[in-house]
Amino acid sequence: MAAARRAGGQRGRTPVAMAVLALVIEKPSYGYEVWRRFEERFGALLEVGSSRIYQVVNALLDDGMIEEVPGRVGGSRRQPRPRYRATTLGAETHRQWLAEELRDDPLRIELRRRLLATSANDASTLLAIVDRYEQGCLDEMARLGADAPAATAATAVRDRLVAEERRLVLDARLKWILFARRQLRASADPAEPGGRS
Amino acid sequence: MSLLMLEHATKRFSSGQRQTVALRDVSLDLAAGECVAVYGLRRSGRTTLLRVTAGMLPLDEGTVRFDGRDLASPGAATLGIDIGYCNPGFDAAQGGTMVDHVAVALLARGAGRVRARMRADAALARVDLSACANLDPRELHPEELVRAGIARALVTSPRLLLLDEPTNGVDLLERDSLLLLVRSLADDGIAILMTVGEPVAGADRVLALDEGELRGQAVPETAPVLPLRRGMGPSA
Repeated sequence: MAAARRAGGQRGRTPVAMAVLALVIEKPSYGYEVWRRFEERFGALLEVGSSRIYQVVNALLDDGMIEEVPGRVGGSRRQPRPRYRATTLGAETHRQWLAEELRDDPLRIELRRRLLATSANDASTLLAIVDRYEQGCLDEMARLGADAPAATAATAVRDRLVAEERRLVLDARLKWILFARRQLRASADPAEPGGRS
Repeated sequence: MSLLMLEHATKRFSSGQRQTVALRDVSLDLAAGECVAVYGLRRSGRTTLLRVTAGMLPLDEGTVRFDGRDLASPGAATLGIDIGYCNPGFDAAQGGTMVDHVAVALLARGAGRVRARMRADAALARVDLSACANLDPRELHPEELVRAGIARALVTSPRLLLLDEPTNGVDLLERDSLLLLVRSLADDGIAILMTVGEPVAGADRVLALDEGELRGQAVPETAPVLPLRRGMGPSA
């Protein structure tokens, strides 16, 4: 049973599911509340309707990631609303997923390599791709620090950590772009040994 | 209208038989109140870019226009008045405190001692460095020296500020407040062109410079809104 739950957990590790899990880790909530908080926190990034959120909540329940909190809210109603909280398995799964998300997915890197090998096998095409990639990175750099200020000191620290990681990744990408352009120019013109004077 | 315009700027340096192209056909527009960061590694041409923009180095080809004037034309030199070049280096051997160092540019232009001192105090306050006004330059931290360099450039109320790697050598935890200061100067209407060797926050546009080639959006996306001439509106 536990193995089946773990397998289900692997299957359900979508960004939406992990966002819902994060919300109930932060604060036990009932279904509508989860959806409302999802809209507030992730709505700009993940466009999802309320029915999808209820599906995700049910899937997380099935996978043992979340559970109903004993006791119910809204006792005066005919159909009281259950509140959900994360289980130990859910909390651990979420931490693991976050840690994995901080690394670049090796499958995605391999897919990128194969796509480049398939559709862009000459230096001029690759240089054009590098130019576009660079423009994207420069635009992203111009957006650094443009986020709304954090609501509390605690979220300010978390936001700052995420921003710093984003900045360092951007630095690595921009340096890779400089390297890539020189290599591609050198391969297109063997008389130019990777540099210009 | 753009405050600063570089048009097809090319700069070469020669050393013996070797010739290096520091800037290749660089074009760039900068408006008042805009902050543009130029990302580049060492020997990318970034310092040369600032020096030709300041009018400190003549171009081999192309032009630099400040407020419509070609900096190469006679009498167009504006460095130290309309254009401030931030240099965090202070010659401690000259003696004097930070406020003396910041006031030097005004004294050199004939300002009275009291007035120069008052404006230097104001410039130091603007960069949040009043507490260091009476310190020797050797007592300042790297981040404070950058602020002091900005104050020295601000004392003549420039319209364009040139910053060469303001975050270089600055502690990570001090960097954000320094960049916030730079951003606030742009928000006050000063055009800012800064070179950086790492991604930084606060710029309106970011360009990349490598081997003297400037890439990225060299002209602001939003074209300046010019008043329509009478009879030239959409309905005409």
